[in-house]
Amino acid sequence: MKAFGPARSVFTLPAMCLALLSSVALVALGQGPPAQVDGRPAQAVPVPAAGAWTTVGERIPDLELPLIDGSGSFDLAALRGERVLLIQFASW
Amino acid sequence: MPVWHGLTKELVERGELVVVGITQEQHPDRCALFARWKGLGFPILWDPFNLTGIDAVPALTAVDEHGIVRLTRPDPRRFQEQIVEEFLGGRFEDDPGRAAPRAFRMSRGGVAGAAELERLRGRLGLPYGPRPDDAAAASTDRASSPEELFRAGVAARMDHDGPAPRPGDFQRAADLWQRALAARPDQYVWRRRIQQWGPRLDKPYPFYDWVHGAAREIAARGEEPLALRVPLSGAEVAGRSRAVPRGTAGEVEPDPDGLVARDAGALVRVETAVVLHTGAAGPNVRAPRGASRIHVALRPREDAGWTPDADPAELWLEVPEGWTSEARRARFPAPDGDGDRAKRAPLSVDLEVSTPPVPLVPPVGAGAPPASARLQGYVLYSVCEADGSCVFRRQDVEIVIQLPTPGAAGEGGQGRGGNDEDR
Repeated sequence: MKAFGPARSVFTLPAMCLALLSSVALVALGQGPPAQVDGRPAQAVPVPAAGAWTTVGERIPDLELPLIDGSGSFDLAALRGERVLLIQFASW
Repeated sequence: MPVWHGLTKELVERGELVVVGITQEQHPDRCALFARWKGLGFPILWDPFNLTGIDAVPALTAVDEHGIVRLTRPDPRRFQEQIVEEFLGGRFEDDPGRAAPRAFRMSRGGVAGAAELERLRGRLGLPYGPRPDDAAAASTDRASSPEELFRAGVAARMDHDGPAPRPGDFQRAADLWQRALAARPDQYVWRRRIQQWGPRLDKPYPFYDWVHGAAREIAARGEEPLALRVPLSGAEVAGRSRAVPRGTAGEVEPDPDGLVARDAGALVRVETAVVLHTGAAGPNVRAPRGASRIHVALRPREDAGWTPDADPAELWLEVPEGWTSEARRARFPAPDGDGDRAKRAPLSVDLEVSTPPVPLVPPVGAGAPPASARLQGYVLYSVCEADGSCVFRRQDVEIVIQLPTPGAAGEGGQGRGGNDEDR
């Protein structure tokens, strides 16, 4: 299996300028980085993941899908109580 | 995947971590073969419709015992720090007030994907199940969002691989995927679905070139390799290349004077599909314009079948002046195995064609480039009827390649077999 996805983005000067301006604008609007308590964020900020079906700090959506061997289906809800690593992949 | 399997194996065996895979592939048995080859012992779920909406793989998500996501996209090089120390070593509190986003509730009482889930359940066994209620066609007609277009394409390709395919199912899938990708060019799971059957130049890597070696290794271990339900096409094992490889069947036209009798009884149905370069879905289509993979399948009528005593079926394709073609004459590989199933199995062959390079600056006075190209050809095959009588027949084929134009995501193409009107 090989990793795939969008090519690594290359920061161009205009893009960096835009990012800098955006940061300045966010701070000016009071939407800057979260307040710090003992050097840590005061509140966890949800971070959208790829595809946005999972978000750090949010509950995993209910998801029931068939197993690839045709033996039945599997519901992620059955994994409550376990620490789980979900791996989304393709065999190529 | 093998990297993560190796890293997590001991933790799983000690009961400290549960690993679950989700694969985005069209054909689940290929992933099952991969899992057996690599010894992946954890459950792997099948998400061909991309219900999770993920746009690239691999992607990993760590979920705590309360069902709350704690980490996404961990780095295998930081496995000890991120997974062992921070995730497995962390203490996480539940928050009963926290609910999953409604749009992603996909199973019970869900919104998105419920119909697709029902379809999956029906398709996994037989091998993809009977066409339940023509839902694929209905969803094709209704599809409007990019996600719906993609899923309708998946359903169409499932129909193509299922027990009751209709002419055009594969082409419909390719066209729907191109339309979906045009709206979401950053969706790499969708893009790969097209590239799986597309031209070499568009392929980031071969998709299933590992299959035959894996089957051999599994057999050498004394285990039974899984048989694939859908044979691999040439496109699915081809590597990325600018050069169009030359075919091996020669360039001598087999029936230049049209002497072989036509298949007036429609003993065989010819189906064609054209899969364009995924660049056709973008605004700049100069480079891949016309780089296409042409797929041709022969399906014997219910009461007809192939004979192992005859020469292989062949395709002859007239390629326009200036075009590049992998081959003009191609042989259909015989189906695997023998017996009734092999006698009635569809035969398929695919080859690549590309238009002449499009100049950066059109010549002065040049008109608009053509919107399509028509390739003429024919197939020759020996086919036997139920009474055992076998005949050698010809069907003429026309393949229309809709050439993409800048700013308009085109649909790939269409083909017509000689007895289409009889269907």
